[in-house]
Amino acid sequence: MNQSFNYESNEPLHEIIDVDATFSRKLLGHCRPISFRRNSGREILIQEVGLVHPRYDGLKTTFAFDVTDGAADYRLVFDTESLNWYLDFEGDRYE
Amino acid sequence: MSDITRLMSPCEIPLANAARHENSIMYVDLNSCFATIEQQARPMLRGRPVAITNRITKNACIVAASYEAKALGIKVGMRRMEAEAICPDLIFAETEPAKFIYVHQKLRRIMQDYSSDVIMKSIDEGIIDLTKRPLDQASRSPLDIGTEIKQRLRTEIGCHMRCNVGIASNRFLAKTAAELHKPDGMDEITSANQRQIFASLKLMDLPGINTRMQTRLNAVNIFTPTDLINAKESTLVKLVCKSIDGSKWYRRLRGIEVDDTVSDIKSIGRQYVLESCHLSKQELEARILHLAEDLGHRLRSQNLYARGLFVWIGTHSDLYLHQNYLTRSAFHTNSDIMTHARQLFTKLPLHSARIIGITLYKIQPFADAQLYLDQPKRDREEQLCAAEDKINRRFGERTIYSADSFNTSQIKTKIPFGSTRFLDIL
Repeated sequence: MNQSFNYESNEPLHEIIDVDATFSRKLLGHCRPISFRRNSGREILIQEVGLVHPRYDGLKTTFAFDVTDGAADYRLVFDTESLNWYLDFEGDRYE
Repeated sequence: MSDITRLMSPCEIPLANAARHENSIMYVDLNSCFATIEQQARPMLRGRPVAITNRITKNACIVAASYEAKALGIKVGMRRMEAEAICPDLIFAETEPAKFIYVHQKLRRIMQDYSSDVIMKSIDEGIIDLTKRPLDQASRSPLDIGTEIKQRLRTEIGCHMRCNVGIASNRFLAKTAAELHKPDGMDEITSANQRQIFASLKLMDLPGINTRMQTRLNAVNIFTPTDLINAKESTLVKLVCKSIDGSKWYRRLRGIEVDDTVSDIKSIGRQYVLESCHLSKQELEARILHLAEDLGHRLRSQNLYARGLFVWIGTHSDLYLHQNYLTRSAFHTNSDIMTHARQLFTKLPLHSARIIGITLYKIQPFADAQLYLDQPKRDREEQLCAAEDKINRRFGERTIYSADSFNTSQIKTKIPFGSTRFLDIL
């Protein structure tokens, strides 16, 4: 197990990414990302959405999606002003 | 106090809930709240020892630990180095207020579906008064409602969320019940099972009994919760508490509600563990003024004023030094708080500080009726502060701030453990 990760004290990656998501009122939080592609071209299939929570910076709202692909945790952020998705964090990979 | 209780002499007051028709107080407590939320958000951390700290530094203090970490001997309050010596694989994560506040709000909304009277005691625990439940819930038993709340936490927040539920006739017994089987337990204390449950507990297992209280109880031959129930009211009043508190304990143990009081804000404080012992005087002052600005914002968010300011430092040699300032004129502008804080801190040996703190006290909900000679200047400061708060509310925290507290971005917003009053402005 890699022990070096320091999730919150790192600066956010703020990498713009492509996300495939479904929107359904049957889903908790209505929106569920299915997969995302990083700038490197790597595609990551999301296995579980851990928690979705809003974050407020003044009147600006972003939604943080904490997700995993089964090997590492990721933080995807949806900016409600720019309608962009960002990858903010990538956690360590676990065996 | 209920009419039934008032008519009885104290020795006649029976054990839990005889004075009420049913157990109507439910205590809901999220298990290892911060660590559980972190494990909910990050599935890869589930089943692993996780410790939550306010900052990831060598000397960071653990504010929450997962059950896996607790099983290895990690305790809340331990320093990081100490914990790593016990468990080298311990995973550290920093507190993230937005995430915790979201879960707190979800929990509160779930609880409010079962009563119009819900009081959140802290970010991770709350009390539901089921006597005020809506009509569609009236026929349901508290145990049924408790089971549903536990299920709703899992479906509406996440599958890893767990909580303890305690049901009794008052807050004290409900909290005692909630602590019986952690994690994910649900217990009810009734007049029928109270003695049996208390027989399996130690004095310090009861909420509100600390080492000092235990010593006082031991001095009058009260060594167990059963001894405490059997104690006479006069013993608790005259020999243990030496005040009306003894009577409250007597009634509390008998399921009578004595803790349903609402307290006003008496003080607002913040502290900061310095990241280095080599900070210049200017850097130290900037951190102090950052804390002062933050306190001012909290004070004004509740439309409150303070008359006292208390500053303190903890030194590397574990000394605790303080200075305070009490004035007749109430203040709440940043300029006033920062001026007083700066003056007081210059009287302390800041070069030896390891931790600094500021507390505003003598809080009052109104400004002075007195007009001052420099009133126009005071009015301008008020307007300036109001404008600053408005800009920060619109564009985000510390969009605009005093140049004196420049370059202090390492001071992050911390999640308050006790009061939930300031959660809306975090």
